[in-house]
Amino acid sequence: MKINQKKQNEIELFELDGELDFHTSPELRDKFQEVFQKQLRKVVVNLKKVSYIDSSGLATFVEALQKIKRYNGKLVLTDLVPAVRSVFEIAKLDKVFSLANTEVEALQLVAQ
Amino acid sequence: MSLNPENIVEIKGLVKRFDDRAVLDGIDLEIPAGKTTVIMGGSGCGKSTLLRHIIGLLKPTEGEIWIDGENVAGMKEKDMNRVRRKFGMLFQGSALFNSMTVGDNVALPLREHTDLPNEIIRIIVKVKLELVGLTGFESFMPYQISGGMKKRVALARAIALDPKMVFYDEPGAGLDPITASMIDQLIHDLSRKLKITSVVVTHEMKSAFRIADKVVILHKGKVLEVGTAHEIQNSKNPYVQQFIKGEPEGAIPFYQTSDAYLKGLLET
Repeated sequence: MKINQKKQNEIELFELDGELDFHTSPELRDKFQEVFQKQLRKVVVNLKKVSYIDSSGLATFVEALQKIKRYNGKLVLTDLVPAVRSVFEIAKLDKVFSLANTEVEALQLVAQ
Repeated sequence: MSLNPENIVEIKGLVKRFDDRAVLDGIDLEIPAGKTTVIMGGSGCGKSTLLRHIIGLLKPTEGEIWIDGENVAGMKEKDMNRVRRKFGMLFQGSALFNSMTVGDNVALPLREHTDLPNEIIRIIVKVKLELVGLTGFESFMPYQISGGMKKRVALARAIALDPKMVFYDEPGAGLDPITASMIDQLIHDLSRKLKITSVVVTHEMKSAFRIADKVVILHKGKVLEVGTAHEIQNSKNPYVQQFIKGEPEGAIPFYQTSDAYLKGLLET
């Protein structure tokens, strides 16, 4: 799993590449710790290059959403491939998360 | 042998004898990946024995059992445990640990097989319990919930590690029609949305035809017929018709013939 992190205006943008599973999700969780510590309020994660996500990946996003919401921040996930979106849907988390179709839309959502 | 990539399980010439009696008598079977295969048959047809072979609890007398590219027929226990991580199992009696809470039962495979932190495991447990309609039951003990709920907890545990394949042994047994139908819906959702392969052993016709992409009918340790639910329902095979209609009289005799009975009585 490759994790590219960059700042765009005031938005923290993560681009993930690879499979998000039991082996790789702890690495993403580590990256998110920095977001929580600095209380970064606008976070976008682009999942365009994530072909597979398991429950640990899902749980990593749930934990991130819980912690970011605690200080009134926003987390938006974007560009989910159908297989990944299905995992969110079956866990009924597609209504819990802000899911955008494009990065432009995600950046708008998080900036609101 | 190379496995057809469309199949997650291939069984070739499987024979199991207990003493001289062949319980499985030359089974050839393919289980397609990401689909729901229902194995049906009357009591004693060998369906549970077949399931026990696939999950490695029994070793065949003859034949090959290929799972995800590996022949598990002669596999050592250590290697079999690695293969078993790819699949979840829903036992007929649920098999929950009575001394553990519902949440701890679901968390067990995650604690045993991963290094995930507790915070993440707790979230996964909540998601799995929501999937089976048991949100908020984490702290309940198994004795405090109904049989149907126990079955759902067992299903949450079976899918805790996101297996490629889930085996269900009589999933609707002992459940009320609504709960049984809900379990069927879950099996259906897991297969369709997550591409999990489901292998269901049952003799409940309604449930089988509701969920099956492929139906396999076993009779006397052999594969009698394979097809879609529609094909099986319209089968011309008198054994199949008698079985699916549940008729006491027909091609499958309930009692032996008078001659066979007499012969048996006179045998010393």
